[in-house]
Amino acid sequence: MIRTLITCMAVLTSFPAIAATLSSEAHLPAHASTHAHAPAAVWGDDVFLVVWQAGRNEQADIVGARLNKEGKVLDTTPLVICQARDEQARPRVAFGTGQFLVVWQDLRSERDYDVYAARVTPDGKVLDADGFPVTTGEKNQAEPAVCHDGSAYQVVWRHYYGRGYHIHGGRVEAKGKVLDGAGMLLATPPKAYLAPWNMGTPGVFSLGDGCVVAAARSGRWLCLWRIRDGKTDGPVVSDPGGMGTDPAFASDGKHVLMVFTTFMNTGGRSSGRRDSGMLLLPLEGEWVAETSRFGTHFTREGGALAARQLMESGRYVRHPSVAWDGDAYVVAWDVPIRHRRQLPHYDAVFLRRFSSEGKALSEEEEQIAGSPDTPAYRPAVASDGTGTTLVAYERHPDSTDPDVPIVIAFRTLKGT
Amino acid sequence: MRKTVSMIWTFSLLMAFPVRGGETSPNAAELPEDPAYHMRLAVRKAGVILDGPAEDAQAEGTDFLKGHDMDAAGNIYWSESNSPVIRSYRATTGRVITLAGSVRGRRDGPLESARFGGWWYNATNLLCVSDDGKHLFVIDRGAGNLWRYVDLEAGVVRTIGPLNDKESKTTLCIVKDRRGGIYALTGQGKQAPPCKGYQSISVTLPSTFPWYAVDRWALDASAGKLYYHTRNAPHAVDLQTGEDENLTPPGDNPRKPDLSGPFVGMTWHCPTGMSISPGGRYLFVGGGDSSSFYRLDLEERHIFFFVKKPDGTYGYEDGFERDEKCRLSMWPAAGVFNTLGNGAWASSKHDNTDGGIWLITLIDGQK
Repeated sequence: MIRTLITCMAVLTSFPAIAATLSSEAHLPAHASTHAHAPAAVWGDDVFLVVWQAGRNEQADIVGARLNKEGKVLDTTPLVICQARDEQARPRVAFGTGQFLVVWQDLRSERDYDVYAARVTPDGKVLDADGFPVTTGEKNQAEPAVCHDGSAYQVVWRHYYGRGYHIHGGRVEAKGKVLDGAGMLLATPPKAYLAPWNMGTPGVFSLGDGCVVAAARSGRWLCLWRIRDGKTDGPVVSDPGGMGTDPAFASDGKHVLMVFTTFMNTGGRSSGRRDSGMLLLPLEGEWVAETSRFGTHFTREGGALAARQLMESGRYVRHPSVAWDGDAYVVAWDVPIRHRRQLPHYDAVFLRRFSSEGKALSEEEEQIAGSPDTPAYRPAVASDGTGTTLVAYERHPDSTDPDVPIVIAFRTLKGT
Repeated sequence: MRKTVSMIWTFSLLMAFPVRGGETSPNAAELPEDPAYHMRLAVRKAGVILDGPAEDAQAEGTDFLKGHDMDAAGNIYWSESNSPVIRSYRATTGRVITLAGSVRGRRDGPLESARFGGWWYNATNLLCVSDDGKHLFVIDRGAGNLWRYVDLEAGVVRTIGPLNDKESKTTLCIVKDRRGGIYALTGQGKQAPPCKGYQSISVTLPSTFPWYAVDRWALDASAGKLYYHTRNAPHAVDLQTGEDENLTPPGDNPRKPDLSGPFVGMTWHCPTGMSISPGGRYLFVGGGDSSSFYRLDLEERHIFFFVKKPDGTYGYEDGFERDEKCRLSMWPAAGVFNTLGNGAWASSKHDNTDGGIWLITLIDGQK
């Protein structure tokens, strides 16, 4: 009994009051009965905007829907952002100067991917129907990411150069004018590495005086570059010795938190396992890389800031997404889990909050969506910065009804 | 040479077997004896999934690629490792699409919302597609070793049954014939579940049958021969007599592993993946832990490496040891060919370039 009490007190001390209330699950409207994939979300001017890919392969469009702070869906039918011919896929969205910018990869050329963008106003007007080209160079420009650096949108993407992908970027003004021509070369894989000479999917985040872009070199070594005036002078953290993919960012105003998946110390890629990592980067000062057992963490003046796993048990964490809710970082991700031996794995979405210093605010992560019959996948997190967070994700339909499409579901989280 | 083991095969449909499946002639056109191929990477192994154009390997896949096949039109199909989807390279458009699957689970139905348990390292076995591109079968490892059927005409996924049902002692093996048709072999007198796309044959399989190592095996229905492999060697089973022949017995002087030459004396490093030429003369076997794949000439009883030749083309050569000169791949390496002689090869690494799905195309004019 005494031991139990001591344990409870220790837990209470370790995990201070984190009263946060999750709403029940609700759904966004489907677009013409198409399946919904790969949502992205952002907060801006009193609304959340969630965008997603409606359909797959040659039939994919980009659509979106707005929600208010209370989680009420404001668009009973999705906003059609792009329904050009062929495939439009993998949207990302940012907010700045009173409007949203949605970017995606586009196969309307029927030759290779280009990056397109469209502005959307907070009251739901699509200012650029079917979008405008950000870059349409030869070969693929794909998998874009976007942020607003205070003066313009910074778009980054993977650019095919002949033997793999580099990271290129370009800025877009509020009026939709594309700066930097067809894009600037931002990041390359070092030739000293063995094949593949390839840059992975990038993430980008505003630092106020420029941006930080992260991408995996040669498929796994996660490196960071700072972008100023649309250009970079090379990686600020290179060859850290840690592995990582799928970077995502948020900031509390003092630090930037990057979450990512990592293969470190989990049996390597060949085991099929991935754990998660978290990095806290100071907004100012020198970034120094060190290697930890969970990948790489970064220190300021030699002091470790944080390197945490998202999940205590160490599982195949993917697609992490993060936002700062004004009091804590809210991180969501998906994991394939199996509830009983011999039954198939299913995908589920988990959530956990972390303090400004990167300390977990709960003893364990919380599974917020997903069951064997209704898996949940690819969460996207956005927050208003004053306590309300939206988590949107793919919700796959019950197995007994094959005609119901995959939809975007969401839950809101009210923090203290 | 032949060695009969305890494997006794009985066929309830034995007499019908050689002529089933619309077989029109036992002598299909054979591939050229000394072919020259182009080879190019179509899908890069890069840790992510990226559909779209396959030119210069702009399309990407997640990880080790093992379960793959090709139809007569040159479309390639494969199960992704680490992602529960089946993807396809479309020969007419030069594009890669995500063909079936969404998230992990087990759900039949339309391609885009169907669920597979998925595949991963060392469990990414067997996918075969009929030569007409209408029927695809795959072992769904993550869903409990179930056979799943993808009806490519109707656009739906179905679950057929377990690869190995320990309770009923029934083994279900689905295998591709040299003519591109698909057959389901079942043990202990059982019948395969009814399903479009294959023809069912009931056989008796002893407990020693290597069901655990079911891979992409090869069938010569006209000759009544099933080719399979263990971890150590490819075998041929005569479906009429029940004889099980180790095609490459060690003999008195076994060679070093993965060295070309006569059948006798060959030793292997975990072969993986098989296909058979349309005329039935050549058996193709993936090298597994070695660095290439092989062509076994069943008439001459000789093994050749698939290598890059001095003129820049690719083809089969004898006399190579496993060294950097002929090294094409790290694990795994499985070459599969369609009935027109074109093929695909899944590679983890190719020299200092990338691994992924390689297209192997016969150079025009030599057929």
